[in-house]
Amino acid sequence: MALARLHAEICIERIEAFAERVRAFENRLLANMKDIFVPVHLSLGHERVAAELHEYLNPGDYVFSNHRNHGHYLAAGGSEQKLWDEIMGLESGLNGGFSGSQGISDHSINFHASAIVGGLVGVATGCAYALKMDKSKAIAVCIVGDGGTEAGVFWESLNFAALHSLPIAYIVENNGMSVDAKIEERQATPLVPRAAAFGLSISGNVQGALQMARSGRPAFHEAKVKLEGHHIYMAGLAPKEVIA
Amino acid sequence: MNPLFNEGPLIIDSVRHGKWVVPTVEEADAVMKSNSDNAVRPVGTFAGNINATLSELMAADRSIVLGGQLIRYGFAGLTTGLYEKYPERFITYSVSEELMNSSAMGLALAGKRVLMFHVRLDFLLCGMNALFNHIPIWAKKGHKLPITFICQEGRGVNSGQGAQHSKDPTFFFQRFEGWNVCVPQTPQEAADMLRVAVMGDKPTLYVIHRRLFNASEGTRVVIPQEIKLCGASKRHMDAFYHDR
Repeated sequence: MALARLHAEICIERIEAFAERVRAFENRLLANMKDIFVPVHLSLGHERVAAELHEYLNPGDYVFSNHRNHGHYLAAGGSEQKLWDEIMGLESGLNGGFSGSQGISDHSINFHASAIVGGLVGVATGCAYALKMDKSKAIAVCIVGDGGTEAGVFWESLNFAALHSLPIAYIVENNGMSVDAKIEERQATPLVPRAAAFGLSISGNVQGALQMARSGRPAFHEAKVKLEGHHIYMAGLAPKEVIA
Repeated sequence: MNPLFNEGPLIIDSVRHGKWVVPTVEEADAVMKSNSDNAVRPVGTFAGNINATLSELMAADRSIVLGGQLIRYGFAGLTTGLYEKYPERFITYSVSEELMNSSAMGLALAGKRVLMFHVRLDFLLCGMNALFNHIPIWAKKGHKLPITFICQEGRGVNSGQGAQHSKDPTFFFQRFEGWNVCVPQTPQEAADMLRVAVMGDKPTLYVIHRRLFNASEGTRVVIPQEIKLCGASKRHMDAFYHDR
């Protein structure tokens, strides 16, 4: 019992430390925004989800993220320097500067992100199908915002994942906003009951969702987060202050 | 000649002369060398050759998977008999074209060679997000995406197809960086192009004209260079195809 508590405390410490690492990276970008000439969506306020992913992802897992992806990329084991260089548009960047901040991908760690809201939900679901075909121990993890759940393909994917018992976890970072539009203006009912109605297993945290996916039960987790700062940044748009 | 049907560059010219598609013929032949040295090139109808080539390729490469809405049911002869041999490699989809197209990318990222079947070209475009925002861009970034979208084009078949089923957007993909396009004009090309598409590493749109399905002779296939709308009645059809 004492050992379990100690292990839990160590996990929490690691999660908090990783969240601080993500926060520091985002603040460094913010401080250098005058030199960034691509659209950037900082994950300040979202970093806890990335930190939990970092704690519970396994090597070989596939991670499909969105436009607010820096924390997820680092959580998947990505290179901070390559990400920085990519955002700065350098040839030494992750995709040679082609992707910028929003649409990065790194085949070496099975990480993909898209600027299109909800754009990789179906991709993640197809990946999960392949993993099941191959009887792989890896899972697919798909992270979207609350806006991403409004794309039709999100619900097409949930149906497909439930039908085939795919090894996939859908993680929703719900910050309640789609740029300026509040979730109350956009969605008729809460997310979790809808996902449950499609046959997904509901988890209260990232760890549980990933565990369910590893056991072949497509899982859904809604993380309530509060975005700090602005929806988007780039040179010429950036506020000067750093969010501590 | 009807200006609607200016003869644009065709894929067969591309394969031979390197206008649009250069690299994959040799690559595919290399991959299939052990097979193609001994393979009997199927000679028959378009559909028969496609079916025979699919059978040969699926026997040679276990990573090949077939997806579509009616894929288990023969798909107008293209997949006849294959489900009985390889049921685990057939993926039946609901009416969810965005999922079909995007999951094809996910399957490919996880190591599958994907053939995704659409009964009509206009159905393909119901899932445009993956085709426009993700697949060609990921190919440009250097990810291997062996995906072949096999679509039927039905202009002018039988008593007409109506305004919605008569559009042919093939030229759009021919001019879209990151896409290969195959439009076979002989039964032999139907087999050869399919082999190149499936065993290559690039996303390919493979268009088979419905009026050619049972043909054993080649014909010149004209690819319209703009999209015009044809009504459903015989009166519309006669005018639309008057000087084709």
